[in-house]
Amino acid sequence: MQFNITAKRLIQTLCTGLLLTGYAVAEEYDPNRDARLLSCDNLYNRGNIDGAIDCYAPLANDQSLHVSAEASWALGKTRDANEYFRRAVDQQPGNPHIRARWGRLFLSTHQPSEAAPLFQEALQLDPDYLHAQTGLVAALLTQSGSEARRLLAELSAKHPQDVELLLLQSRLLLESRNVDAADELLDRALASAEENNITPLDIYALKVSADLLRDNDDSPWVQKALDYSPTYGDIYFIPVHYHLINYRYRESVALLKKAVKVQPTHWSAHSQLGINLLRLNDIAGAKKHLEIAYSGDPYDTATVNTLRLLDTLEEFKDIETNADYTLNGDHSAPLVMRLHKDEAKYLAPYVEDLTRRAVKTFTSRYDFALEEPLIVELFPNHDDFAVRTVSTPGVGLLGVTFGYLLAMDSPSGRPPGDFHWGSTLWHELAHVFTIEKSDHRMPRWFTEGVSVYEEWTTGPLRGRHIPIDVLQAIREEKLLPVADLDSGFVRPTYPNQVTVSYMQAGLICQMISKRWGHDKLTEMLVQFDLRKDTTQAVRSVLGISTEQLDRELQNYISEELGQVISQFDDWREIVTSVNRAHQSKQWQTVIALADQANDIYPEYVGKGNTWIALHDAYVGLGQNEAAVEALEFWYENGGHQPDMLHQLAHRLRDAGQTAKSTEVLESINWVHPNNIDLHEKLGKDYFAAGNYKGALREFTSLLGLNPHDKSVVYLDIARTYQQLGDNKRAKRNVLQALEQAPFFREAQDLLLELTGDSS
Amino acid sequence: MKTLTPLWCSLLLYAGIPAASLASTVTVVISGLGGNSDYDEQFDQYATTIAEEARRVANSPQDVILVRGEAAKKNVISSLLENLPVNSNPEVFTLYLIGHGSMDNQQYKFNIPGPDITGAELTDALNNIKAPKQLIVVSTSSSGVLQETLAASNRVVITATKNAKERNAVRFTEYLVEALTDTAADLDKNESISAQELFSYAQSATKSYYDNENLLAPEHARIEGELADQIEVARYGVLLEKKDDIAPELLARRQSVSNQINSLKARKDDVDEDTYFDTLQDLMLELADIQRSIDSGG
Repeated sequence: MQFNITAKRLIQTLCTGLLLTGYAVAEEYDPNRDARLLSCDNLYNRGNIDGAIDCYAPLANDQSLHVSAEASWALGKTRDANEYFRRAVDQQPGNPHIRARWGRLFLSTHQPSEAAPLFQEALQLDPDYLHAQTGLVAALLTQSGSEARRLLAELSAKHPQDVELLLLQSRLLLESRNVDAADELLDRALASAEENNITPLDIYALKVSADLLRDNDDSPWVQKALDYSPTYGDIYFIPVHYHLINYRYRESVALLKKAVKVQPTHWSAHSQLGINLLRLNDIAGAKKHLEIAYSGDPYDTATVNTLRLLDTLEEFKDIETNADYTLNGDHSAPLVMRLHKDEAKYLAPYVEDLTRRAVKTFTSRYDFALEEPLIVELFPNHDDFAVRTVSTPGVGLLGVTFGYLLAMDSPSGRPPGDFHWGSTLWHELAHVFTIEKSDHRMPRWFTEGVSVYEEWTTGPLRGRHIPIDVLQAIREEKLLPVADLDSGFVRPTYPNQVTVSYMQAGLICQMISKRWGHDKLTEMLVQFDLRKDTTQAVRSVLGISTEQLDRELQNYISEELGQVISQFDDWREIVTSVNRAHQSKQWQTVIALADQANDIYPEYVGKGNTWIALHDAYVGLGQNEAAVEALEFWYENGGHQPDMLHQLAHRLRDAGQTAKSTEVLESINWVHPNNIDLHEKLGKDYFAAGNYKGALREFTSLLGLNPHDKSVVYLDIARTYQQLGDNKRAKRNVLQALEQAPFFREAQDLLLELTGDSS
Repeated sequence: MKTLTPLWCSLLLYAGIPAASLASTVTVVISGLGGNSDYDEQFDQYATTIAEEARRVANSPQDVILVRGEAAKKNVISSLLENLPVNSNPEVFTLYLIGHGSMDNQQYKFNIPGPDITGAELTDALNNIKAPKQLIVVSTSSSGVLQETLAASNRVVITATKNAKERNAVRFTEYLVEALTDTAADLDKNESISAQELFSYAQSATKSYYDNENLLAPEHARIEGELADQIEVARYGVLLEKKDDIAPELLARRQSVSNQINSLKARKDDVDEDTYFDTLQDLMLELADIQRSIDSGG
């Protein structure tokens, strides 16, 4: 079935609890709620949904616009509610309560950026209006962490017993796995709710979340909630958030199934169930629940986007193969490459090649054999990938791993050379092993750290790549203690903190490997699987505290990056001057300054590096050998700008270094694989060198790029098969060449030769 | 102005297989005003190369007329095109316009020294030409607008751009010339380049250029007309070198086998894969055998 609707940015139906953004608050926190609404709320909260509907329905046409808005909202008529609030605000422009409630409507429908200005307007009318202040914090928590946390701390100090503020604080603590502290706040919230006659259901749901984080899957709070309200699906739905941020998709699906069982009209739960089934590769199950979600709530953008993605997946092709590995004997793991049909042919050889290498490498390095088929998805449309990962277009990620299924941008999804897709695939494949080896129990910093470390150590791109802004953050001492490093990923407090956290985690893993041995990383995964946290795992495996590990990291950074960190400002200034001199072609200046910069930090090959400028300067001065040397150093340290790689390959070929030139050319495929000339050249090089398997991969990729003259490529493939001793395939391919070009003499000759009819 | 003295020969009509001799063809190549010396030189060079290629395969050098530089004035072009029907009666008429085109008052203009020649004027002149097959190649900016005005059942029109709005100087011509001078355009490897192959190569190469340079393509070439496979624009190899020595019966056999191959390919989806390739193999071996006889002068 084709899903043919336009995603609209509209108010959605009422959600009694929200996932991921997670900070919507139920209507009972409304401090000035109309008594008639309260009695309807009570029916709803006790699970008497029909009674609640009958109760709200007449109020949707109440004389008070504000009451009509609330009743419409409760009935799921959010567009009506929006209109009533608009009119109510026109009628009572000086009333902060109505603006705050209108903001809550937006907040509950995943539109925090629309909600925040309404809270701010309410606060202009009454700066101390707590309902608006809390709403603003909730809205900001979905966007910038630091400002929201500051406001939350201020408000909590002023209103220590406010249930809603206690819940917001508890959620943050649970996200950072500070379960005991969260529990303490939840107990305070319970007491306060009882005292103030506030429905405790949200508190129960967070209690369940705390129990889940303690690995207690049988929380007594579930039954307590269902006794209070038998249809309270949120008791399962709200805790899912804490599974998801810890990569536990199977467990999330189990909870979501329970949520829709007790509350079949919980559309958000159906939607999340569909999205997470898709992450587990259950496409049919995903479709079923997404369609149910859409039937009840056609305005949920996550539902709509994911249904559209399912349509898009019909344009994809599953290519099934195997990846061999050795662990207590030789084995083979099923591998499915899900690629867009337009690029499957040219990408598959590379995806397969790298995935096979990764499976072999990581199985041995992490002592873990894949237990399920590995699924690798590449999306040529970045927004499809974004929907696949977080159900919302526009995210800046390159890849995501859900366990045995990983999804990433295809190289064609971004401008040529924009990212090293080979490294991204390697990074994601490392996640598969760390996530599954620890049964999805490793902390975020650890899985990211291992993936970054593996990129630097065993990946297809040489060198350690630390962006300039990360060096700056290290200099500014912005690194987090390892025990709190997850917060740098989950709740960043400054713009590039996620990147900084990736690099910090990578450096920690690299340091552990160098100082204690690589096996310690594997041992830590075992500890995480045993439900140990970072502090316990570090103590158990490395024999030190996390504080000591932090100090070790400082020492390691001093050893490895001390020079550039201590001279960071000078180095950056010199690099800027090199680029300026490069632009104005002052070659001698470029050489002098680049040498200075490279004495401080030679391994920098990223944007604005000095090596390319140095190469150009030597070329400008006619010193070709020095130019090649500069470019070779850049390449050996992970430089991967396609045009410069082409230049290097060309220069190496001119210098008679054919094998090295071919190696450089091949590396371009990990950055810009859809280049017809490149595959043709590589194929011919490999053929000439007798590397027929390499030649076959290149010619097959070339054919997938739909070259102007396919007959020539079919002939090359036929010749390659002939060299590999596979005359049957050789004959089939030569016939395909002749099918395209019946008068192709060289193909005719090969056909005659293959059929023994060449007399 | 040169007079045209066409050489007539009997025609072997084909679908993809050229006759021993090229059908009587008159080719006119006109290069327009460059606007600066670089473009002037480039257009001149392109036009000269196209004319040279056409002469290599023409039955008579006089069947190819090159008009360039200051000579490419409106009255010269008009007179040339108007007098063609009087002086010749070719089977195929081919016109190449190389240069800049522009839109002025909703009117296409081919930029030449003195007053430009408009699309309407060109169309009127071309409509007088009675050749049963015509190929008009307008490799200029804004040329796409001419597709509608020049359309005729006996005519293939190739333009460098999709419409009038694509106004930048075009790269298409460079690849057009490449297609005529390089065997790579000959997709079926029959040693003859058809109008369709000419276009396909130039279009594909132009696209590759912009893709490789990571640029948004400002030009999108178009081809219209039913006869694109039947108009030959260049040939090379044995077919060119031995055109007078090939036995007609060999060409007839080659034609017959080729027809059988085309017929088999048309039924590909209805035939079992192994059967298809077995039959194809037999036909290809037969064709290879004929080809060898042609190559060896048999």
